[in-house]
Amino acid sequence: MEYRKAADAFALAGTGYLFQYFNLNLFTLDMLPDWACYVFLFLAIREAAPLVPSLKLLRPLGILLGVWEGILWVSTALSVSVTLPLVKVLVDVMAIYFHYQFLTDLARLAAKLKLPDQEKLFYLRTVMVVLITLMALPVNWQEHFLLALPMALAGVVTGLWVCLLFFRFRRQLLAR
Amino acid sequence: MTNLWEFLLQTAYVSLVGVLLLVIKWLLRDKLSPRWQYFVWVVLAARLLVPATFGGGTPLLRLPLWLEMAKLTVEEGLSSTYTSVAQAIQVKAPVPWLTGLPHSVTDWLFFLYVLGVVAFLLRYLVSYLSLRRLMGRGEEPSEDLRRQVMGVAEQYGLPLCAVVVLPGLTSPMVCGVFRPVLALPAGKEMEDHVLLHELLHVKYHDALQNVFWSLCRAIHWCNPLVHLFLDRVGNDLESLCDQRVLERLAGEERRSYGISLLSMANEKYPRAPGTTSISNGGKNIARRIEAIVRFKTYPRGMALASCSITLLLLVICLTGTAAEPANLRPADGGSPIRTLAAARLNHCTTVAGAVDAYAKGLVEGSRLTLMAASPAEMRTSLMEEYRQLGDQFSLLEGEELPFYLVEMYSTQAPVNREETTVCAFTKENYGLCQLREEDDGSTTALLVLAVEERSKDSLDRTGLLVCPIRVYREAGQGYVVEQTGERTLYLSTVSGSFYSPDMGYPFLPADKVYQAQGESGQGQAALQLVYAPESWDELEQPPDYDKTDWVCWRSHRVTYAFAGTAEDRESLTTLAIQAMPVMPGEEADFSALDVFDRMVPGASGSNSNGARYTCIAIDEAWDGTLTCRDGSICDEKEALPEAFALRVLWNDQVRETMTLKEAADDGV
Repeated sequence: MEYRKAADAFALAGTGYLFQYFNLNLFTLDMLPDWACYVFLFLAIREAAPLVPSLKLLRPLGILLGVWEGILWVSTALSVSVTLPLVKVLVDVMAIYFHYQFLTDLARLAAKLKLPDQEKLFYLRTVMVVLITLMALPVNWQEHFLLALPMALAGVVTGLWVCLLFFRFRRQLLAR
Repeated sequence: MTNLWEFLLQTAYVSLVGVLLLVIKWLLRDKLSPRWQYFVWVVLAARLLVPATFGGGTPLLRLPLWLEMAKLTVEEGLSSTYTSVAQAIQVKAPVPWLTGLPHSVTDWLFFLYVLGVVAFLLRYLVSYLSLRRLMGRGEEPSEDLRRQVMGVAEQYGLPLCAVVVLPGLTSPMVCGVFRPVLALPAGKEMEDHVLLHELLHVKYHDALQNVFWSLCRAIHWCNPLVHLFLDRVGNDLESLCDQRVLERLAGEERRSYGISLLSMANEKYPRAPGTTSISNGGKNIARRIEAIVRFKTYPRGMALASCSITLLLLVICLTGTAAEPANLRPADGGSPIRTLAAARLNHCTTVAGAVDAYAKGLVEGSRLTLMAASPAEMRTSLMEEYRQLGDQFSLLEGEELPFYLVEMYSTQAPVNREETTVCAFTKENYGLCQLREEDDGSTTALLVLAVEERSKDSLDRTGLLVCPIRVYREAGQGYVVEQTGERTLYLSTVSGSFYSPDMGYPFLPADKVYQAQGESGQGQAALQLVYAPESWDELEQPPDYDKTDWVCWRSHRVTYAFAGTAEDRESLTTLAIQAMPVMPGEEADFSALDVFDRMVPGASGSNSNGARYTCIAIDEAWDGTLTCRDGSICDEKEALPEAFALRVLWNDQVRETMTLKEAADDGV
């Protein structure tokens, strides 16, 4: 039962991060919206919370982040610009905490279940949080292409690696 | 802070940051430990210390704009000593000082505020001195108590300090920054964990932090939000100390620590700068008990997230966001006062930005645009004109035209638009030549703007208006432009002539002149550097106050003046010249000009090495000279040519070659 719940949690988390790190644009509409990431992560929290109680602290933040991404997605689809710098600061802060804590808790769960390569998740978590922080800084990254490009590549590689790790954990748990 | 508006801006920013921190702390109250909950106040401390107008990003809220609007509204008609209406609000320091005697209402309000700051500081000083005097009258602790304190210090590796016992004191406290004194209530048994709490205050210099926060409270004494924030800071400091105590205790000791705190809930506690007290009021103690209950349930290993969040908040709260600021141009609408306030906030941060704003202000006839690049006196008169006449200046504003347009229009008084020949700016590119860095750090140049002359239904002539300008940095405003001499209007004699930065301006001084006297005539080359925006339709774009993208056009005109005999002139049917620059370290290589083979009259051409040729058919009207021009973008740091190689062809035959070398003076 514990393995099943953990496997489901890892699968949901992996799927969620696919939405976060990859976009498929149809005109102005992103067919892999970021708000869907938070839906999946919320479901992952629900599955894993009995195993890692501190995950419950993330539920309200996950909801807020998902709602914000939803607002942005709708406004982009309608070509309406949403500029709320104060709200953006709050969202960025919550995002940093949320992803750090979420990945830390899942990494601890993986360690508790003695899954191989679980320590990689801690490093990936650190890279991800550093990148989220850098991207949130008040720098117009489009003007610093030489810095922005490696960061973007690092983000994609990190995101993909996290997803692959989560799916691998799921397979290993199901095999047990 | 030297006037009321600077104080309001500074305190408004502090309030904004404080509210933001309170919201974030509430969102993360059960997620990040008391250590972070106190540490994040470093963002507020930074905001308190750093002047509000530091940093170049877009502010989180339009506080500068709103306050600028309020200032323009309130200060109109007041002749304030402390406030200059012509300058936007600029906070240079986070502390207030007086620059003279108050005169207007706003001056007096600021004066009263400063008196309040002094009163608060005096009050703090008196409280502190009273407490120290009280400490001085305290009794020596008993031997047991002294040993107890020493035992706790030794057990937990904490520094010791002087200990006194004070009758009437209800709860322990530490007073003093450099020579702290631990004061204990007389007649009460002290538990070890209570002593531990106070000694931890000593170890982490909490009294010194308390002094800092008290100074901030005094500076912002009239802002109730700041009092609220600083009360929370004090409570978080105590919670942090509780956290430190709990980290050193184990099991049942933690529970009994909570009970000790509860017992102090109804006690009064002293508050003064340089002091700390374990008791801080009933409501706060209740919060601290909750935090104690949550001890160790905070997620572990949050250092990276805590630091990332704090770093992000620090950068954003100090420098603003990277969002594009709203471009508040008159066309965007809004009340005149709002538009004026927005225009006042436009500062040119580069020399190129100031020139761009100045050029566009002239060409568009926009007072608001000119304001951003004008010195203080000019800004004041432009603001007054704006209030009375609006943004655009036009021909029909009575008989008197704004002074910067006088030479532009050939007018008949009274102005009759139908009959007047108007010389107006055209929206072509502008250029700067004779660009020089002066010893005083300013930049001088000749600003060249395109004009055209039109009578009722036709375009008569095109030309250029040349304005000598000086660009310098004005304190608190950024770069500004002032005109340093008379403007000169050059109108071409030939309809349809056109001059542009890439081809140079033949009637303006050259940066370098090269010449040589040959057998058949004289050769001269004039080299001119013209700085211009990259985009050809630059004057259609809004002003760029941070402009950095200039290009440097290097153009040269090579002129050959015939000096042959009358017979030579008669026999001459075609004349061609071929010229190319010779760079430093190179020899003049005339064979490189062989790339141009047959010279056809009326033709001209060039190649990628800067070589150029021109050929004409000679007729009776020929004035004896022939010129070819070339221009290209160059790097400012590129070396200029050392010489020019000139080849003269008479009737398609090489007549002579010359090496034109730099002349002593550079006039044309």
